Amino acid sequence: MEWYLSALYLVGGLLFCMFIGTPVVVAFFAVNVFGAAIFMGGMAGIDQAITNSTTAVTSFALVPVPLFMLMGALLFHTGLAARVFDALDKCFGSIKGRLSYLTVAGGTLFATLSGSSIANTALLGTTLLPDMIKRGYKKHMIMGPILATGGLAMIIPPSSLAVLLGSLARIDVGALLIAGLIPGLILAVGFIIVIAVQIKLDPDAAPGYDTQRASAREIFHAVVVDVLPMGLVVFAVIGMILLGWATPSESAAFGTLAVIILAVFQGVLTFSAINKSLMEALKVSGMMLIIIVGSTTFSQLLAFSGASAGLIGYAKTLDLSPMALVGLMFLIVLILGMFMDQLSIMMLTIPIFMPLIALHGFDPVWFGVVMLLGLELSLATPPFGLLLFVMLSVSPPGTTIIEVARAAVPFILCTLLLVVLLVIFPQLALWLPELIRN
Amino acid sequence: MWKILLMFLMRLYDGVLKVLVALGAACLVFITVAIIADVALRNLGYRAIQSTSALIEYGLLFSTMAIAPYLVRTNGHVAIQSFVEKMPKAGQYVASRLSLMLSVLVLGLVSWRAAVIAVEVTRSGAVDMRSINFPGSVLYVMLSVGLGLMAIEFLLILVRGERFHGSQGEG
Repeated sequence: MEWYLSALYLVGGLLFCMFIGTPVVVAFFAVNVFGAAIFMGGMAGIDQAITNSTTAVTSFALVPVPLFMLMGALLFHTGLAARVFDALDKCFGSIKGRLSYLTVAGGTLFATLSGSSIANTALLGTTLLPDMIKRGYKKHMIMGPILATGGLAMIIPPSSLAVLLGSLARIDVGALLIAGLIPGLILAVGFIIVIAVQIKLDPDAAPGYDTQRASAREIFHAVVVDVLPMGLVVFAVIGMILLGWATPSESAAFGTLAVIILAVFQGVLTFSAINKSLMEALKVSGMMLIIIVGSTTFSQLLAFSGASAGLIGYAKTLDLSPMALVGLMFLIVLILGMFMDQLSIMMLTIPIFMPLIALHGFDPVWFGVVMLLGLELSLATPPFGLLLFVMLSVSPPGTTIIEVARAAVPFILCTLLLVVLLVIFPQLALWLPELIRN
Repeated sequence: MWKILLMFLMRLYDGVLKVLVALGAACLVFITVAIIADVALRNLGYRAIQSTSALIEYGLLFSTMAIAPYLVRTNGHVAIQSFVEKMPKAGQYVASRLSLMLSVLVLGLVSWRAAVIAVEVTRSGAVDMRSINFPGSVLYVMLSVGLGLMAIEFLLILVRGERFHGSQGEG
């Protein structure tokens, strides 16, 4: 069979199954089972695909996926995350647009404590949105920062998606986690600048109002009791890797332990919080890992059928510069993100992208960070980006999807600017992992 | 008589799903505790427990398969609905039936083949060599049971004439 027909069957079949509403895991299983029968020798091929599935998630490298989820869920359900927000709120006083700034500051801090962008967005939405509506913030000043900052958890370590990307694309997971730190912080600073510019251009967008000012003693107490102890969680996750005490996979368990210790000391650890957190972590990680179980043979089928080699050969004939090729890949991720979830995008594109990245000699860690930024952006890309709909569901009555999408535009541009910076200065992502390696 | 037996079986089946969910959650607790113990022992200069990594790796597949049928029941698996929602009502119905039938067929087939391989591997006495050895059939049994129960859940949705809406995924 010609390579383009194989590619059409595999990629087209997968997209068809997904577009008729078949669960993503079943869509992958369907294409893999029938593909294995066609390309790998009938029933023997199907049995081989099943054997591959059994080993797909029995890998120690995937341990952080459920544990980062558990860590984030515990922070949320014990109320520790809300306490951090309250403490930061006291620090901001009555500066103009304080709730928008608080969204970025709190969201960035929570991103360093949680591995899930949905948990991050949910926290920001439930904690700050009602107050912003009540205070008369304009819609774009409410939705834009929440949409943008929610996605930061995807790139700032610990990030479940980075672990999955690293494991699936055979990128050093520890290096990829650490590589996201500086770009993530730059992005947070960029978001703050965007808010400041928006307030400068339209001072009524974020009304000024007097808040009950906390005394210096209250601020000190809130920071010492509620914010500084969170350093234990950051140390447990990132510090233990840097000190060489634990591998990136193992550090996730210590992050969970650190949250439990803090919750015990704050007297907020309840059976209900543990139960809810375990269920949430089990559901979300199960949902992600089973897609890996179902899709594991897909890359092998692409290779076995000649589709991978054909696509790479075709890419060579396009006569694109390596950077233009990366730009094209980034665009594909954005387009797929308009209607597909992040993990499906990764499973579909990694087998095609990674050989091309290796062919052109790009650093896989650098490309991993760029891809994570693309995945983050895709969450807020109209018309079907997931976070747009999450925001719409909690926005003031009468809000349209166009308004939500428009609110996201300045922040999307900010992320695109960071991608350009990463292309010009790859060391923004690579400096920290190289420093640790040396 | 048949009705009572059917009700009993359905209750038993519901119980099995609930027990699996509880075991999946317990598995996450085990993974967390086992890693902490292992790293602590290692850093304190003691020998790490040899079986830990293999048990944790098996635990990942177990917890995934344990929650999988429950996720079907609670519309928890990722599915793209944006295109289906744009279809006319009749189109939505056809797409929904088609995707449910495909789910039952494919998951049933994989579950069956996994069971067949499990039997073959047991007969041959093969082992899965990790930090400790496991009988080679264990992973296939987990896969067969998990996917088989998922197929049953999709079949129940199909028979009831309901739709699987799915979730939107997680980042």
